[in-house]
Amino acid sequence: MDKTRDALSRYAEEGVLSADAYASALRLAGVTPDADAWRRFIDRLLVISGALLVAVGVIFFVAFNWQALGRFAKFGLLEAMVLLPTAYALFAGLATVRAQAALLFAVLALGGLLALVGQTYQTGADNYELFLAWAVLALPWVLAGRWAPLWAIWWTLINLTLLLYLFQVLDPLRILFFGRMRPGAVALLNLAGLAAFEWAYAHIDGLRTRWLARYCVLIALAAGTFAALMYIFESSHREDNGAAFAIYCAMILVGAAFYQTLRRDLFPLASGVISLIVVVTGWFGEVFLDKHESFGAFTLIAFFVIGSTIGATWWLRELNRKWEEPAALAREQPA
Amino acid sequence: MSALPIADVFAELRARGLLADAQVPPLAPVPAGTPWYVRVMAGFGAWLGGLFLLGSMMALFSVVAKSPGGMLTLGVFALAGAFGLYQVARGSDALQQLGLACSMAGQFAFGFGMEEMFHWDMAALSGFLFVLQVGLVVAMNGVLHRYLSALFAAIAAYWFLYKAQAVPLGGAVLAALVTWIWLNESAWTAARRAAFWKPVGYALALALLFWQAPLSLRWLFNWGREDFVFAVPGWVAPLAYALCLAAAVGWLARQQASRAWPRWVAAALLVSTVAWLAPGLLAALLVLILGAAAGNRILVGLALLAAAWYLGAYYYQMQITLLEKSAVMLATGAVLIGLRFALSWLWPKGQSHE
Repeated sequence: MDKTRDALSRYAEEGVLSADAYASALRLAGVTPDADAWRRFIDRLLVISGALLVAVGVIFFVAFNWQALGRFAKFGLLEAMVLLPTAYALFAGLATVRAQAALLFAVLALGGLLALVGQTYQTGADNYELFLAWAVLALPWVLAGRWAPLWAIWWTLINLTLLLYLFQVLDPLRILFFGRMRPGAVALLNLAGLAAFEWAYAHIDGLRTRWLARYCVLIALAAGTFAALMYIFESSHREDNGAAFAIYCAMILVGAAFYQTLRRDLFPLASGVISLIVVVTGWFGEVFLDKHESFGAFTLIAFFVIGSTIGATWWLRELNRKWEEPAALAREQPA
Repeated sequence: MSALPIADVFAELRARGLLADAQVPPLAPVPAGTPWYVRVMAGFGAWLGGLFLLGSMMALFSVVAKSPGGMLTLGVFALAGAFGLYQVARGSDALQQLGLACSMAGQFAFGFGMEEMFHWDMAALSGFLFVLQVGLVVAMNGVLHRYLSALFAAIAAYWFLYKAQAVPLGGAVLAALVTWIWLNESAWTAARRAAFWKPVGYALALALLFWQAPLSLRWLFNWGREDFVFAVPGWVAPLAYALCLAAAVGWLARQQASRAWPRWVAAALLVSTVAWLAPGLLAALLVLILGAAAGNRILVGLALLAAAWYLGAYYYQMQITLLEKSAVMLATGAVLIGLRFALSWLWPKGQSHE
């Protein structure tokens, strides 16, 4: 589709197509929506965003803790908001847009229900336990939905669970941030998620989207980059951060090989390049700038950053060009 | 109608009288385009490289760089160098990247120099930076540079308007600009202005989506607890979002089903009314509709991300209670679901042009 758009826009820029002809051409080629596509889009937009906003409204309502509404009325309301959409989704057929919107609603309402349990009975549980329970209990809905947005929400819950555990349980006073916060654990978790979503991409129809894997790549790389910078700058804690740094190095090497050969995707490669530039620049800064704040050190780092960006841009564009060739595209189609 | 191959598209255009000749002229081969995330990587590299390049220039001209005039001179030379590089770069990634880094260094030096020389306050400095960035949008002939300069111009405008107590005015202007730019994509493409308007359109759409962000972050991180008093009232922004949304929806509906468009305008105004207290949602909805109309997945993705972010940040905003926020969300969600059930009335089958 992008190639068609590019070709048509070049015809417009070369004066072959007028503005009106170009607009019509885009619609005829399916780049911009025709009446049927608009109708489908609006249908999805209204159902999904409507369900999402009502569910968010319910969560806000629970958080407000309105005293005029009794405990049992609140529980009854929230349980109904979990059960009724679930029943509706089963009735409507799980593969339909309405069913997916209903499952999304049920998953969010489930979080509201768990928050209400914590609010009402004051269990003393840590926040991470709420998110852990939410993620575990939501799994049947997520599995049934086979829908990427549900999996993205679920994976966010898993990440929040780990982050809250690291911050609130391992380091409640925030005084040992560098020593005990474990970015390596976050990276590992998301590498496991990445492997699972890559498998799902190849084997499950409803999850044939690159965005779930890319979401994991971004979090894993952010955590890995943070771990590598800690390793470089916190020399007194090297033994704490050594394993995380090793995970980072392995992640970069294996990721570069995997995404160039087995699963051709420029997004993780470009993200990895940004991460590497940051880490190597940090290392140059630590080695050179501390000791000699001079023209030479600044120039070396500036030219490293600019040169590596130019090289990486060229490399990625070449890969893109090779992969865009018809024979390569035919090989890459999922079975 | 299913998507047609280009040859059939030309034949159909000829049949509709939009084209004199149905023959598809050959296009000269061009290299495959650069995906947006590779451009993000290149922009980040140029920004970081520009910082160190500035350090390098300051170290080289250490005597000069100690005075405001010297910094200004460094900045002017770096910007002039960047301009020259862009003039000769045409198609060379390496020269464009070097030009961008040079420009970044020049902007830092020029900005610091002006601030040192005139001891400006935040309002004056951000006003100056806004003018500088707008000038760079026009002068620098590179897509990535234009995108970054338009984005920096929007950020500078935000701080200027913040100090002038007129932040809502910026949201209103941005909404109008973004609506105009993306509804006129075919016009500016055919006028050979895509290299200018496309990066500007993306940057302004991003700025519009996150225009409410500093206010939300302020509550989240407890920045400055003083109450906001705006000389321009807060309702200006949601009013502009609502009008732009209604105009965009009406214009698009008129193209698809001419008799139904007043109903769509009414529907857009109804949604805007119930979501009035959540202006970030209205901005996201506006960009989402514009992105869908343009078949632009980047705009659609940005709008969805911004909506998700806004819903999370909205929870922490303190200007209205959780009960009111809950009512806003429930009412907006109920109206959207209600509109779904009224879809056959809003857009009766058989009323489409195609």
